[in-house]
Amino acid sequence: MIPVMHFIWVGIGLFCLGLYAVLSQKNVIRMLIGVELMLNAGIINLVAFGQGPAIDGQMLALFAMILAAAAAAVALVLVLKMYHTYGSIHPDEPTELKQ
Amino acid sequence: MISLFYFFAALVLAFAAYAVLAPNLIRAVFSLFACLFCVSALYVFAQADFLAVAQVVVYVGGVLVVMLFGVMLSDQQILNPQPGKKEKKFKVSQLLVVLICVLLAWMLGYPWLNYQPEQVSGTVVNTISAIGIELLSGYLLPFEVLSILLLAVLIGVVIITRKGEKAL
Repeated sequence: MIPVMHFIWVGIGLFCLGLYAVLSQKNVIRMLIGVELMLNAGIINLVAFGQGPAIDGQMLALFAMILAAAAAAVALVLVLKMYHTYGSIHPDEPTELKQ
Repeated sequence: MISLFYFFAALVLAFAAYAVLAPNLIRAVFSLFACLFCVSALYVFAQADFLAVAQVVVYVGGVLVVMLFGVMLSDQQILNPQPGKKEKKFKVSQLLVVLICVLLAWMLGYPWLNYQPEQVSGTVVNTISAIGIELLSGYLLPFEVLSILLLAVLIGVVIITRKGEKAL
């Protein structure tokens, strides 16, 4: 059985890479990639601590996964709308709520 | 077995690093694809076989395809690296190093991280039937709420992307 600590190391690595992407990139899709990486780091931790006979950790990870998929769909549609409205997907472009 | 785990963990981190740092956006998305595949391999090591399959179906099959659509339907210029927009990266990377140090120091101080779940002796755990029973008994309410949420996402996405007078 793999020790939980090893999973946590992988999770830390993924989370830091995702955070770096969100903070440094100048492109909304790249920031979304970072968000996905951070979500996966969280789900890895849930799965790692949910090993063993109890199933609750895996259930929580499953729900988190489905919510992440729904959030990604909505976020990408908003990116598309932003591109149609502003002509670019630079995260500094939208500065107003109403045109 | 532990060396195989290290192999997949190294692949996860390598593909994630390339997904973050690749100059070409399409290459970054496909690298994320490979990274999520390797994460599902890690789930197998944690005895979560159903989650590994769900990871492949939901993330690799769903999110990645949507993301590729998002890339291809938006700006063509963003596919190529844009020089002259990198002036903020230095501070961010410094912040990142600080964050890693804080996380590591926090980690090493807590004894509960050495928690090891009890091993089921000898038998292969069949999580799929247990998950199915739990979804329709103990977790029935979250399951149904999730279905309503997915329906709302479906309708909302269609309404937001609609063109013409009734568009948002």
